[in-house]
Amino acid sequence: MPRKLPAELVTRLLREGMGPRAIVEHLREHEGIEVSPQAISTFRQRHTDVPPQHSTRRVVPWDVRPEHRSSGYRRAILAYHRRAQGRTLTGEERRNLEHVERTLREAGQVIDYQPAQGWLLVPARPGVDTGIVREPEASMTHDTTPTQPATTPAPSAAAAPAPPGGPAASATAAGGAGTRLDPWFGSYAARAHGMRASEIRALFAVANRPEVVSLAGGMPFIEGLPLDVIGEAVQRLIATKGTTALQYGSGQGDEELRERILEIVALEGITDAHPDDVVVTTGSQQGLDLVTRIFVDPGDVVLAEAPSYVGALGVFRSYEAQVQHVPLDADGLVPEALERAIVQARSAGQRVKFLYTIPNYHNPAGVTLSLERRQRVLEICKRHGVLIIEDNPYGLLGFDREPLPALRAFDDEGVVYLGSFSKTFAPGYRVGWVIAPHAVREKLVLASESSILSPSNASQMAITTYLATCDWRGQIKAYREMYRERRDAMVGALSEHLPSASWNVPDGGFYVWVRLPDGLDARSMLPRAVTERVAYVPGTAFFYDGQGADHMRLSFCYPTPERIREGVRRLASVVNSEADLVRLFGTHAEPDDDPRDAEHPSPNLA
Amino acid sequence: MTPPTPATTPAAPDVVAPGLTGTSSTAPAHGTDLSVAVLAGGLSHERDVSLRSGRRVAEALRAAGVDVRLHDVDADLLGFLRTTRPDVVWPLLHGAGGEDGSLRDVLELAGVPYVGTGPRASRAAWDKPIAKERLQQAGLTTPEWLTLPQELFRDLGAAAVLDAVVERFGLPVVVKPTRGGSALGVTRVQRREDLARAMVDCFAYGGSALIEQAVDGIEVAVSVIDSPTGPTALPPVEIVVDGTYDYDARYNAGRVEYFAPARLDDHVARQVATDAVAAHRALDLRHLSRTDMIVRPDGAPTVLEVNVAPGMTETSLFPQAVVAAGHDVPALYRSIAEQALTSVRR
Repeated sequence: MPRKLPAELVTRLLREGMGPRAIVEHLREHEGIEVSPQAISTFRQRHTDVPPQHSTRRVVPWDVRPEHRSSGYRRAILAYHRRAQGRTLTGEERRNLEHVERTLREAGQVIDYQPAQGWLLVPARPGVDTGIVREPEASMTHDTTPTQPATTPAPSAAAAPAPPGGPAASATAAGGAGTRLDPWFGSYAARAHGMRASEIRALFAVANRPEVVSLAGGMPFIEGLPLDVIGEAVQRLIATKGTTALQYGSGQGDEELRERILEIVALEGITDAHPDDVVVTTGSQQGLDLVTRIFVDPGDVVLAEAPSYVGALGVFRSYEAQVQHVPLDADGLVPEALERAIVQARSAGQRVKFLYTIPNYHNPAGVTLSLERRQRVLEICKRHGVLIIEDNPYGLLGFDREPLPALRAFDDEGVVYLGSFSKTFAPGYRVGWVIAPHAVREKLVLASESSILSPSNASQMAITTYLATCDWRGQIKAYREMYRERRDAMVGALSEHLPSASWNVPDGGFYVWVRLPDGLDARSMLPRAVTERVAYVPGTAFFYDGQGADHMRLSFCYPTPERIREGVRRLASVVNSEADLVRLFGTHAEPDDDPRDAEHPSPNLA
Repeated sequence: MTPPTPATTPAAPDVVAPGLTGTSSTAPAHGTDLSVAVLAGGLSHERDVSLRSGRRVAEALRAAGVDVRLHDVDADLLGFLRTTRPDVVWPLLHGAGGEDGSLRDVLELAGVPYVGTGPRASRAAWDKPIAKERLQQAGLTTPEWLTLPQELFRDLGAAAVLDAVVERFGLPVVVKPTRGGSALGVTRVQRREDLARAMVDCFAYGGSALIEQAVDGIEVAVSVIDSPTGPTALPPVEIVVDGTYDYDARYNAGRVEYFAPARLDDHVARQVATDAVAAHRALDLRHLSRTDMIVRPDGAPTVLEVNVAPGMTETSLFPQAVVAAGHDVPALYRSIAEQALTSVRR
């Protein structure tokens, strides 16, 4: 059992005006007792009549963000306001109000409510620094709805400067001992609201256990690399060029690597780029982040395929973009639909900032934009003045043919190209790149420096060494063959075990996009898959608007063909049981009602 | 089991106040003379929660000078226990495997002292319908319920069964898997047309569903620990949530406002404490448990469920109750581990 608090001593120290932290110190030094300040506060509350110490009064801005709808402050203010207007209080309001008043009465204080000013004076309590809570008159009269944007209180109403919303703003209910367990909950930017762990994401936690066949992740098969050769090269690199490799580098990236990158993109027809046009990034994910940062203001429209890469949707969401999905079919993005989407958005007064597209071996849809459509997409975007962000991590991983020319190969002004070593070499180095028109590139370099100063020199030089000393073309070829074999295993197993579903047969990349039998809901079914020791990503992860529950993404990049077949076998039993259930209850796949939360496996899971 | 004891103080019986419990004189002072293997992870739907609980408990025990090792429940586990020979095992497995008693069977077999309830009692408490029956037998109130295996719907037709459910209970009802925690697969259903979806979501977690009459009121959780004087309730923690207390609300700080102790009148606080202790005893639980209740508007508590392995994450209720009781979390966790050591040897 825990150490006994010396009640008399603690009571005496409290009466002498010593604060909980000071008492903790005192007990540690003089009595050899370890307790928490919280324990002292609780002791004070429960076993003494010593009032809490009051911190300096602070003006806490009344905040009407949706997440504050139930905060103690708001409840207390609304309750006071309603009572002052002679309106009836709900049970919860009355209860909360009585509690606030009782707590304060016990501390010998009263609330000073001045409806004319719209103020509520709440005496501070230890650790809470609550002073005056105020609210703009407008929000007093109605409850905010979740869609209402955050408003800032009028500064003129403040007698003292308002803090930007520190712990006091939301940590604790007025007068109660309530806590939201996150003192900064009221401080987060609106863009952080969707950054929550979801039930679906939690279910992926089992996916890295060896018992589970994960068809969920996008991890390349690193065991396929000549690790011994790479190891020796890296050792040599640090031994001979360590003073550079371990130092800061250039914000734009290592020049030698940028030259090497041009050799790679030449395989996809980009022959007019200069090393100066290349910005090296920490994975192409950072490139995507930078591009979005420099182009997108909150509310701007980003066009993306339906479905689209989950990681891109997360970036767009974090910059508060509005994503408009554009349908794709077996030949990729549908040009007519693209044009319609642009025109519609513009005529609705929206600003369309760019088209984000994955032209090759799409993630998750597995399809490739045909050569003919590439020209049309370029033409439409050019005509409407819409920039194209071409995300191309899989372009060199085609199984049956040479790479198609990149969109960037036809247009050096209208296309920003994102490339990556993560799928063709090793994601652990976190190296990707952007090829952009000169003015865009200047901004990207500055934006990148402000976020990371410079990409990792050690990683860049390791990759340069790899490209210079290893047969990287041969490695890509080996990967292509390996992934083709795995694709065959997956497609074969699907035909054998899951004839009730439908899917495309990708001719490159990592993914098969499976449409479930009618009525099945991939999100709802995931727990059953976890029970059966197989994992996939529900289609809803790839839509901005909660659609996609009738699809799932299966990846064939990481498990061996044998494991893939076993995984699909397990999946078939999951689908069949779920189909029975759905027939029984007559339910349908339903949109995700809150698509903002993270629903994809974390990067280290596959 | 420790014998039942009467209420302690008139103000708040069964509530541990600071200063009421002391370190037992034979227990070692802080130092690495106690080794604990914390087991977390497993393959259940609640793996993520379990890993978080495990890390938190390990951290707290380390702060109390305990030599702690964290281990997953996998094929290496028995070998790990054989080679490291911890004094005590603390299983923090949530969900199947962890709470259903099977791991505890294995620990009994291996003869390792462990924290928490024994296998048979675990199995009973883990199965919600069985637990609810025992709670009723012990005179506790629990919402009216029905257990509906999936096969029943196949035999009788889904619409007919669901109509009968609504006829009996009215709406809203709560649909939950008969086994499992963290609110996974749980839906509060307001409209008849949403019931089918809720059943499908529930059956994805297991073949049997529990349908309960929804009870409105103040949501509280009462943690109970065994103390030298018998099972003792920690202060109730009140949960005020925007919407339902679902997975998102439980494990992302912010949507829930917790009040510890709960804002209850003294007599109600006494009642929930008494009921939680009664539930702990009725289900033959050991060392620690958490009982989730609703205090109805008339002040009467009704027990929703009892947790054999309460969550120990950053946002969990048990640690909040420990702090509200004025305990030092590391010291209390250490004392629980020490108790496990002595209760086996006794």
